[in-house]
Amino acid sequence: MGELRIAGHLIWAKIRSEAQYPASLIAHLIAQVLVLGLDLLAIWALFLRVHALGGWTRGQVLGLYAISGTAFGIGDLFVSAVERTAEHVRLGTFDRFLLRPAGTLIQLLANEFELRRLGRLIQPVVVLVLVLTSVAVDWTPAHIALCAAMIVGATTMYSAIWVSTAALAFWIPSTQEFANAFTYGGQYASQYPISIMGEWMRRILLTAIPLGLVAYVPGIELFGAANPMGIARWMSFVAPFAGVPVALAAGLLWRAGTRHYRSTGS
Amino acid sequence: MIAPLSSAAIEMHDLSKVFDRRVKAGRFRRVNERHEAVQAISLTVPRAEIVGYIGPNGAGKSTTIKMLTGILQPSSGTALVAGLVPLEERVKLARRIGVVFGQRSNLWWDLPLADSFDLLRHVYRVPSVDHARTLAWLTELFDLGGFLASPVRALSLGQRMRGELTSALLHNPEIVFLDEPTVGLDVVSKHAVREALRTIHREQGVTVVLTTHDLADVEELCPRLVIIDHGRLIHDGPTADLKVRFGGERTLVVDLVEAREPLIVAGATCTKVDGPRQWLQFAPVISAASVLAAVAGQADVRDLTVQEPAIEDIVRRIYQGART
Amino acid sequence: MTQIVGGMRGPAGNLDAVRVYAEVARRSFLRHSTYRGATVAGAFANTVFGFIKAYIVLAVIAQTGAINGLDRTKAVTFIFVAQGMLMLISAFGSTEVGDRVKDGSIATDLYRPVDFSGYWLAADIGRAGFLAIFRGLPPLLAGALVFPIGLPTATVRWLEFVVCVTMSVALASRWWLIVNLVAFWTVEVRGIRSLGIIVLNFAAGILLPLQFLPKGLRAAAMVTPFAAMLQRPVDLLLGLTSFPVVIAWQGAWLVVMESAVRFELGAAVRKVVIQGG
Ligand SMILES: Nc1ncnc2c1ncn2[C@@H]1O[C@H](COP(=O)(O)OP(=O)(O)OP(=O)(O)O)[C@@H](O)[C@H]1O
Ligand SMILES: [Mg+2]
Repeated sequence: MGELRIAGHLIWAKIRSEAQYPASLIAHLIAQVLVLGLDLLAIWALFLRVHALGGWTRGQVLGLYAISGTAFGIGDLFVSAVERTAEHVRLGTFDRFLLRPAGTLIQLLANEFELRRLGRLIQPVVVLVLVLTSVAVDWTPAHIALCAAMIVGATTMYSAIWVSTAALAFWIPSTQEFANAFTYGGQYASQYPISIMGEWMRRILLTAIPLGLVAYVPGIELFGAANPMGIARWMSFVAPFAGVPVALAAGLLWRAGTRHYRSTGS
Repeated sequence: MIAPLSSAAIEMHDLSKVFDRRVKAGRFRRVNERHEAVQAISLTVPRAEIVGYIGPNGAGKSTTIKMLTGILQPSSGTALVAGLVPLEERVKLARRIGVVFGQRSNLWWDLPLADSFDLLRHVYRVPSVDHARTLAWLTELFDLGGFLASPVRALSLGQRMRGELTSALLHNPEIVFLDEPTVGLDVVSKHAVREALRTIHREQGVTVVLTTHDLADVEELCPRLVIIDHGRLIHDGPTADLKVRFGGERTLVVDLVEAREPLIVAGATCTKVDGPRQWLQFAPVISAASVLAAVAGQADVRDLTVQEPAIEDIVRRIYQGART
Repeated sequence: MTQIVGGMRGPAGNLDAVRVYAEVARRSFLRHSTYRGATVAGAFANTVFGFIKAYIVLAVIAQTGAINGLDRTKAVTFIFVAQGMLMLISAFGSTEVGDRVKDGSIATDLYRPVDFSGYWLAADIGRAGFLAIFRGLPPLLAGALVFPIGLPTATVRWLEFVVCVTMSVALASRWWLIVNLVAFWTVEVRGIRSLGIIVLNFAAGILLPLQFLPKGLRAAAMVTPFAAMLQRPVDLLLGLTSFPVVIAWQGAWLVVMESAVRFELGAAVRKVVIQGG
C-alpha cells in the first residue's frame, strides 16, 4: 500500500507537468479516440456483409470489443509505460529506480505515467455502456460479477503481457515490435470470437497467451453467445482468473531482468 | 541474512565484476569478450570516514560504486554496505545511503526543484517535520534559496549539482557515495560543494566515498585515498603518505643576495637558475633544513620557499606506472 | 535561398546529382540494415497481425463467397502482401523530419547542396529497399505456410508491381514530408501525424482491403493518394486491375504531392529566413 501511495504522488506530479500543455493533451486524446474508431469501423463494415461471426452477433462482438478494449485501455493508462524499459536500459537511467527505496516496476510506471493515454480508454468505455444496455444481457448478480471479473481479469492479463515483454529488454535490446505483437496483437485478436481463428491460434490464445480465457470464454456466458467450441459452462466463471498466474510469472521475469541489468559505462 | 558482525560502513571482499561485451569481429561476425571491470577488490571503510576513490578513466570506480549501491550484481566476491548485501536488500539499503552520479540526474526534469524534493520525501517516507528541518538546513548549506522554485531543466550545472547533492542527503543517509560530484563545476562552485561536504561530515558523521578526477577535492576532503586501475587496487592509505610513499621530489627555491653560478649541495640538484633565484630539488628522505644549511654556508640567502610536489604529478606518475 | 532549395542545377550537372542520390539511398539502406533485432521483431509483429486479420476476413468470406473479386486465396494474399508493404509506406508514421524541424537541425538540411525533397526521397527509397526484403518477405512466407497464397507467375506482372511499389514509396515519402513539415508552423505535430496515420490506414486498405467496405466509402477511399500507395498496387499483383490504371493514379498523385511539398518548403524557407528559425 505504501508503494501505491508513492506511486500516487509521482503520478500526480506527472499530471501536473503534463497539464502545462493542455492543447497537446487534448489533441492526443482526440487522436486516440479516432485511432480506436478504426477498429469499430472494421467491425461495422464486416457486419454489413454477415449477420454473425463465429456465431456471435454484432452486438455480442461489440460487447467483447468493449470489455477487451476497456481492459486494454486501463492497462495502457497504467502499465503500458513499461515499454520505456528498453530506453532506460539502453541509456542506463534505470539506475535511479534501483537507487530508491521502492519497487522498480512501480517507480518506472509512475515516472512514465502520461495522462494522455487516457484516450485509449474513453472510447471503449462509451461503447461498453452503450452495448451493455442494449445487448440482451441477463443482469443477474452472477453476471454482474462475471462482467467485473472479465474486466479485472483482462486488465491483469494485458498488464502481465506488457510487463513480461518489456522485461525482455533487460536481455535483448530493440524488442519493442516483438512486444507489440503480443500486446496490440493480443488486443486485436481478442476483439473477435476466437472460434473463427485457426486451431493453433485458438490454442495459443487459450494457453500460452491466454487472452481468450479472460474475454471470449466468459463472454459466452455473459452474452449468452454461440459456443461452437463446446466450452464447459463452469469454465466461463473460472477463466477470468487466468490473469493471476500470468501476472505472477511476469513479476518473476521482471525480477530476473533487474538482476541482469548491467547499467552503462559512465 | 545474519545480523552484521562488523561495524564498518562498507566492507568488500574480493569484489569483482565481469562484463560480457559483444564485439565486432569482421563484417557480420560478433564474438563475446570478457571484460574484467573490477578485479577482486577488498576494502573496508569504517564509519564516519571520508575516503577518496580515484583512478584513471575506465579504472572501475563507477562499477564498484554501482555494486555497492545495489545497481549491479557482483560477478563474484561479497560486499556489505551498512551491514546489508546491496542488491539482496536493495530497498532497505536505499533508505540508508545517498548516491550522486555527477553524470546522471536524480531529479525530475520538468518539476521545480522543491517539488522534486517533496516527491523524494514521499519516496523515502521521511516524516514531514524531519524533512522540513533537513531541507532548511541543506537549503542554507548549499544556498539553494534562489532557485528552489525553478524547474530543474532551467538550472545551471552548478545549481543542479547542488540540487542533486541535496536530493541525496534529504533522507539523512549514513553513507554517501559521490561519483564525480564536482565534474564541470567552476572554482567557486567546487569550493562551495567541498565546504558543504565538510560541514555535513563534521555535523552528521556520515561516511563518504568520493570519486573524482579533481585531486584538489581529495586533498581538501579525504584523509584516506584509495587508487585503483584496471579494476585492481593499487594504493590504499592516508592521502598525506602518498608523497612519502611515491616520492616526488621537493624543491627549495632560494633568492640569493647576488646572482651566482649554480650552487653545489650534497643530496640536492640545482634544476634552474634565474638571476639571483635558484631551484634546488631534493629527495623526500632529505630534510629541507639540511639543504638550506648547506646553501647558507655558500651564499647569503634573502628569501626562500619550499615547494611540495603537486599531488597531480604524483598521481599521474602512479597511473603511468601502473599502466606500464 | 530558393536556389539552394531548388538544388542540384548549376555546374554540378545531372550525373553528379544521380550519384549523390544513389549514395544517399545506399547509406540509408545500410543504416537500416544495422537494426537487425528490430527488423526481426518488426517482421514478427507484421506477421502476427497478418494471421489475425486473415482469419477474420476468411470467416466473412466463408459466409459470403468472394467479395468484389476477393475470394479466399486473393483475400489472404492481399493481407499478407499488405502486411509486408506497411513499413515501406511508413503506415505508422514517420517522425524524422518533424524531429529535425523541432531540434533545429533542419536548417543544415536546407543549406545542403542537395535538393531537400530529393534527398528524403532517396533516403526513403534506400530504406524501403531494405525493408522490402527483410520485412516484406517474411510475412508472406509465413502466411504461405498456413494459408492458400496465390501469387502471379508472369514476370511482367512482377516488374509492374515493383515499379508501382517504388511509386508507392515515393508517394508515402511525400505524404510524410507534407505532414512533418507542418512542424514549422505548429509545435504540436503529433496530433496531426496521428490523423495522418488514421486516414492512411483506413484509405490505403490496411485496416481492411477496400473491397470489404460499402460501395460509397470504398469509392471515396479509392480516389485518395493512400489507395494509390497500397490498395492499387496489391490489386495489380492480384490481377484485379491493370498497370496503366495504377500508374496513372500514382503519377497524378505524385505530381500533386510533390507540388505540395515544394510549396510548403518554399513557405518554410521564407519563414526561416524572415524569423531566423
Ligand atoms: N554497463 C557496462 N557494460 C560494459 N562495460 C562496462 C559497463 N560499465 C562499465 N564498463 C566497462 O568497465 C570498465 C570500468 O568502467 P567504470 O565506469 O567503472 O570506470 P570509471 O573508473 O568510473 O571511469 P571514469 O573515470 O571514466 O568514470 C570500463 O572499461 C568500461 O568500459
Ligand atoms: Mg565513472
